[in-house]
Amino acid sequence: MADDLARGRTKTTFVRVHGAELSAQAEHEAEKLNDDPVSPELRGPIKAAVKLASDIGGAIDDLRVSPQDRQQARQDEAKLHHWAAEAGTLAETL
Amino acid sequence: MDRIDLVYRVLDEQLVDVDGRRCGRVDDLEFEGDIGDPPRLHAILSGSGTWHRRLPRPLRAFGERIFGVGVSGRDVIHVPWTQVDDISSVVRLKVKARELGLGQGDERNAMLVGKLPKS
Amino acid sequence: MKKIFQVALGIIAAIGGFVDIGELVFNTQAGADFRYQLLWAVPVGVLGIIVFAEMTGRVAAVSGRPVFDVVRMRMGLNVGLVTLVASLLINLITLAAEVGGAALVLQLLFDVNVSTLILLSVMALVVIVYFVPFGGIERIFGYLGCALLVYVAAAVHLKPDWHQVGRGLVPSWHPSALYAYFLVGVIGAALVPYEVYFYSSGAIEERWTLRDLNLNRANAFLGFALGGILSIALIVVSGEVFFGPHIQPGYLGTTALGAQHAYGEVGLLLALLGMLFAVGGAAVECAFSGAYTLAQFAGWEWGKYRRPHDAPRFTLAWLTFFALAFVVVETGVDPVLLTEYAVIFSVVALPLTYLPVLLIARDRTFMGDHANGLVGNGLGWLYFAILLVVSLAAIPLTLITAAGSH
Repeated sequence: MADDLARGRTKTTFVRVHGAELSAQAEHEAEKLNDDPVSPELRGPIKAAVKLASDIGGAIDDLRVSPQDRQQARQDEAKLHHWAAEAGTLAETL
Repeated sequence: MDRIDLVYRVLDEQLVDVDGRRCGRVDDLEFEGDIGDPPRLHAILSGSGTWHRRLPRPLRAFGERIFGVGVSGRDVIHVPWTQVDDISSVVRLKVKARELGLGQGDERNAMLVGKLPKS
Repeated sequence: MKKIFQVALGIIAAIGGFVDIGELVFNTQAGADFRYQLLWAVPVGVLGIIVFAEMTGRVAAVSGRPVFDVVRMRMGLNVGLVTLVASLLINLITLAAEVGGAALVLQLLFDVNVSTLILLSVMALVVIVYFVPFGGIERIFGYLGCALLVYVAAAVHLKPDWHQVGRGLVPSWHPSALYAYFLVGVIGAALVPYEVYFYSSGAIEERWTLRDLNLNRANAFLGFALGGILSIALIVVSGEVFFGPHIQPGYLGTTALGAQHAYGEVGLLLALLGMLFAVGGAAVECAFSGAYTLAQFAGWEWGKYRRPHDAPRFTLAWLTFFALAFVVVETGVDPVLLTEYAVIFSVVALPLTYLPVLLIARDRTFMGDHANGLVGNGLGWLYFAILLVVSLAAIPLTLITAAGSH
């Protein structure tokens, strides 16, 4: 979505609505990770995952607030790629 | 035809009146005759009031409450066998539904639907 | 010439009317999770609906009996009642899912509060159904639903590995409950019973006779088969766009992203327009299907060709279904989740309506020379066996996989 936004290939209303769904899901995942009881050795990775979810939600919200800013969208796209890779690595270590 | 499988070809069939209007189903069949005499098919019974009698025994009381209790003229209509004109994919009657008391549900609701705009 | 034109139009309407929210949800998720490995499930489901629809159309044309007339007559009151209640409940869930889906698509287009859009969607559908004749309704939703053909174009444009796509069309097995769940879902999304009840009652509405049998076959074979190509395209696009990055498409917006990825804003708009009319058309079919089911079982007068006050209980039935669906969706339940339950429960109840139709379609007492031949019987019984297996597996798989969540 961020990639399409950076290239001007999408609609603002779509980014706002679909972005809201995705950002809400990221927040929901963060809350679930935070609330569920975990064993001591998992606390570090879980904390990292909660931060990731929060960062991801934040970046999506940036896209929603300024959908016309293509440079911002390009920067957010790079960040989201990076966080997606981090989330993948984190998932594999668990 | 001189032989007809009543369960296969008559029971649960659609009733259609002389004008081609659908007006219920053959929900049950009524026979008459004394004990020892051959029973004769007397009438078709139509209406949800007959349904509870066809349910498995443990469900009959429940069925009565949901579908009706079999009050003649209300939730069960007697259609004399002599009023049946033809049996094909429907049971066609010789007269209009109204003359036999069939299709009352549609008549009652026609007033309500009549208040909607013409389509 | 006029006849060919008529057939062609009917086929176009069938293509646009084939996909509903079930395919949009299940096929996209199947592609995202398993890439092309579930492609073969689409032809299995499509052939199933062709077999089922052709039989019901033939029974309607030859004997004048639509599906629930057959169910009541052949299975009797008790089995008929169970089938009726199950069908009505499933219909209601499906209708709510389609209405909710339409509201979600409108929200993606216009960013208006979803509650308002649910109300507007229901009102618009009721007005269209009330005032537009039967053929017109089929054409509006069918033709505009063809905007979803953007997915066929996108599937080619994204240059998938065609060798892999081909292999996906060959049946394979993976020892995974999730794979089995999506197998059931993709088949179930293609073989939706309400489409068959609507098709069969439509045959009576349009007064099909023996002469229309060939039209029946063309509509069934070509329309559904070409609609199946749309279904396959959804899986291929999803496999290309979502499988690699491990994206889980839990929203209709994500499904639309697939078309946007290929064609940008034009792709997005065509996808959303197609979804709106495909889902809207499905909602209409659902509401009518429920009304047909109830009216045919009880023996009431029915039909869109009758004026509303000539078939009052039928009219009140479909209006009531829309009202109930509105209430269900307004509770805030997720339409995507509703869709998953609707498809799964449809699959469970499918043998109950399929079997009586098969029994009548092969019965010479009712069908004369038009009863099932050797091929018809073979395919008919084969699919009964398939449906039975799928039906028995559906609920356990849903529980084991927690409705396909990971």
